[in-house]
Amino acid sequence: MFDLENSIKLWLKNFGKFQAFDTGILQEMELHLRDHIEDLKAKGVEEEEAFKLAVAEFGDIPEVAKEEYWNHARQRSVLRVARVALLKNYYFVAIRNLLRHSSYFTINIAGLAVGIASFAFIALYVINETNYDLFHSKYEQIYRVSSESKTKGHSAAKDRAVTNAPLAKTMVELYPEVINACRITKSRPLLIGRGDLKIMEDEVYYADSAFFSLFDFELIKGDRETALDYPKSILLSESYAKKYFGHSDPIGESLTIDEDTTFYTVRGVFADFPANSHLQFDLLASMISIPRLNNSKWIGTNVHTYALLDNRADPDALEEKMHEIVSDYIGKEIEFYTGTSYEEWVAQGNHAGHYLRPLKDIHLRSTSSEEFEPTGKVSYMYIYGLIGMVILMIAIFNFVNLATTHSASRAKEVGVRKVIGSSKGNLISQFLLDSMLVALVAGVFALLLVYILTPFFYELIGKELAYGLNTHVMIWVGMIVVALIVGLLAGIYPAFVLSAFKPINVLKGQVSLGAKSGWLRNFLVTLQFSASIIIVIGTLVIYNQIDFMLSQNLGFDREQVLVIERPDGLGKNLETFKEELRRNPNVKAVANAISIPGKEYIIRAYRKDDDPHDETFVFKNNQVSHDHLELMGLDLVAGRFFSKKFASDSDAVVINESAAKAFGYEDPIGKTLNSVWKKGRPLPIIGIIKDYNIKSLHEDVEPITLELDPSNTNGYLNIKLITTQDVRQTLASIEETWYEHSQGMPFQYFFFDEEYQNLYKSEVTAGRILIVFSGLSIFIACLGLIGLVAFTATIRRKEIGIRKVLGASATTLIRLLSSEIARLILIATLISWPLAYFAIDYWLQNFSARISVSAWIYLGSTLVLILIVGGAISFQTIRAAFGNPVECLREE
Amino acid sequence: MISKNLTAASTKPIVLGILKQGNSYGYLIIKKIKELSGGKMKYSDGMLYPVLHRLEKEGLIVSKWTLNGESRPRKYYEITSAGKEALTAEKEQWNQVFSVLDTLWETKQSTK
Repeated sequence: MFDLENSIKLWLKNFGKFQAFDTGILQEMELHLRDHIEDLKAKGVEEEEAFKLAVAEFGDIPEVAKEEYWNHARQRSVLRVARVALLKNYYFVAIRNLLRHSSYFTINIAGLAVGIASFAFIALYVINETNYDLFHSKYEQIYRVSSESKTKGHSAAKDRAVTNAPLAKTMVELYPEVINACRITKSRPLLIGRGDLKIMEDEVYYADSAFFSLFDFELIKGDRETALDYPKSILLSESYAKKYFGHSDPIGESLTIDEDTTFYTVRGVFADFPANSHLQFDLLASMISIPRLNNSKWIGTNVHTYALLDNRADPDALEEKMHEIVSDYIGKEIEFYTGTSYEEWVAQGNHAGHYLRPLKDIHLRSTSSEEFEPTGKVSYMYIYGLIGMVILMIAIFNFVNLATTHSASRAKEVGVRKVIGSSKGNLISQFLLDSMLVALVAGVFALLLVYILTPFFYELIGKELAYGLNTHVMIWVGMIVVALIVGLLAGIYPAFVLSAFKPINVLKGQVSLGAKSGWLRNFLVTLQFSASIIIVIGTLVIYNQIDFMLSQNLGFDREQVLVIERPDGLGKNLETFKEELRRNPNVKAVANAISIPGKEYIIRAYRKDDDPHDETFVFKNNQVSHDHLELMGLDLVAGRFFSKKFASDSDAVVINESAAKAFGYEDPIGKTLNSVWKKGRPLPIIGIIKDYNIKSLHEDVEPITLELDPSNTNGYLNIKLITTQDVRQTLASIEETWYEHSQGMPFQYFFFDEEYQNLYKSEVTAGRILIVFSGLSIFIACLGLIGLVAFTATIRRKEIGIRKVLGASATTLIRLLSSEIARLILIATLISWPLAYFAIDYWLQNFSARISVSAWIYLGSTLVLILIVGGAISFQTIRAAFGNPVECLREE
Repeated sequence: MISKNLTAASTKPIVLGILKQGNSYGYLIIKKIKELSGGKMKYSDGMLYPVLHRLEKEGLIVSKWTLNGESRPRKYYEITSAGKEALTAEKEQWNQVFSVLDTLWETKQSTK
């Protein structure tokens, strides 16, 4: 049987495919068809036949659609005015909506603003870190030569940022593709003086005259070509020029370095180096001032070497060719250290070589020790990037959730708009405009936050950034663009949900409030929870690992140790000074050594006297005084430490367990070694100390030997203090004693434990950043959750009221309101634990000594989430559960 | 049968002309055109609507949904003063075309 109504409906559906038709047009078409059919029926045509005829006469629908489309297109260009009027209406509706639901929007905007601001900070940091040294125009052609070596008895290969001093010259001479090379080296702390003004500077850098032809640093005063050509030339940074010379012109003036009789002439002032440069100098002197580094001696001369290659040069091929440098030149050095020829040395399983590290990779990808500046890690950049995205995601999810939940209150608006002829597209653009407006407001707040919090952020990361709101206008634009994108992303889903409401249902009040799209909301909340749990686990693990590294028994004691730099100021007074300090009641022990853990160690080569093969062992070495063992808190495993009772101890060694193992001795005490430095005299092993870390826990324990040289004034003078209570006073008295003996050398000191922490700078920074931003991400997630729960509780007020009237207890109601969230937390836990496990495992690979991650961390993270979420929702839930049912039921 | 192009070109004056005689709605307008042309102007009915909507957007006609005692609501179109002006202009143009054609064909006959 023919069904006219159904046929018309089907026919109308054909129009639905085309955007050109809005509801009004469709109705017009429908009426046309019906009129036509009725006319035909009046003429006696059968209903089905009439329908077919009317449809046939109506013609091809796509053709009509095309025509209508052109109407719209014309309208777009010709009748812009109407469009603008509509936009104005949208805008005011958006503002009105914003004001009317101010608490909802406060939550939304606060979450988004914090999210965008966090994202901006992380982005600025990551951009800064990944854009190191790119401001040099020739950065792609500049390489830093690193040296690597693997010697027997060492488990790990050595990878150093320094090379021998003559390498630069040799490379330029030997290889045509090396256009130029520049060496840079850093001094120990030096006393810089201008007349009576004397300041101890941490370091002075020395560079070859090629410096300014490799690097693009700006020289404000002076001649780029010749500024570093002459001995005893020094260049100052702009801020140091001010520091030493105020506003007067420093060019041609002189500064004393370390000794009152060593004058350096100021030949230039350079602009302060950008923050994203791995070279950070304030004082730059000419390399030619150091004769020791300007002869052809390869031995014991360590400088950083930067090479400028021809742009067609192949760095890999050059690396390959540079092997000959090792055999031709460094072989001699090896012979000097080991007493064996280079060939023999290689045959023993040793190896040395060079490789080229691109300038741009130094900051994030360096694996070498002895870098000028603490380097970053590229893996952290990924972690930060991820966290930034996650925070932004959490903020977006909040928005989506709140908006869809909130949609119920706007359903009537949608219904009315649709009835008076709004198309779906109109509504979607209105809601998108809505959410973009909110995001824009949030973006402005975020800008404000970034602006205000930048100094705190710099403190958090421990440095300033080259990219900031006050240096790059584009960042403002970028943040607003990010905000708009966020608004768009966050608005899309709610816009579609809202605009899909059927006016008839809405106006009849049939839209189930807030229940719409429950699965999506749950999905997003679960994602937020999972992200939060992973972040909490990650933060706990990183925190624990850092804490472990800082507090772990490294085999030596670094608490309460004051370290005086440059004890050479004492000269012959060293012993008197030490004696006087020992009389100080707050000083437990005083000892000097040429190195301390965390600083560079020299190396020494030894042979065993009883070894028929004359095998050479090259170990790290420290020259110490008698009290070293006590002061450093080292554990003596066997034998004895150096003692004043034995005059012969000046020719004796104490070794650690690793060294004993490397020598292959079961019982090393009494065995004798010999060394080139001690002119082959027998060196009995008198003591074994327990292994201890002289570097960070990133690296394994190395073999080390200790020799006695108490009168050596190089290195560090270590003072172990007894109490922490009056450190200030103790410090003052030590300082006083120092000035009695130091012949004018300033008192320069640090605390051992603080200095040692610098070895973990990238971890400590990462830890701080992670803690702050994980806290923020959880905060944002909770903000959303509070909004969500508050809203559902409001929506369910009547339900709760009725349940109470019917006898539900408060406990039942609380369970009712929180059971869904509890379920989501459970699912999130199941998702996040395995993910967190893999992430942690990956990160912990970075450390040679790592914590074992206990199950408590996992449980703890879920517990933390439950607590926070519980806290967040309890207020709303309890209020709903304990409220008087009359309040919410009497409205009707 | 009148060609498609000519039909399309003449739709605007015809619709405006019909509406000048009184307000009307889509179905009636079509019916009228069919009657007037004696079925010689063959339209597919649907194509009328884009024309109506275009004229409305150009401000030559206005529309109004009305429900005056009839069984269904109707969307009535009414010619505006701008529409009337446009119709006058159309009329003039068409007259010019006629006169050109007229002259041509008259002359042809007279030379025969």
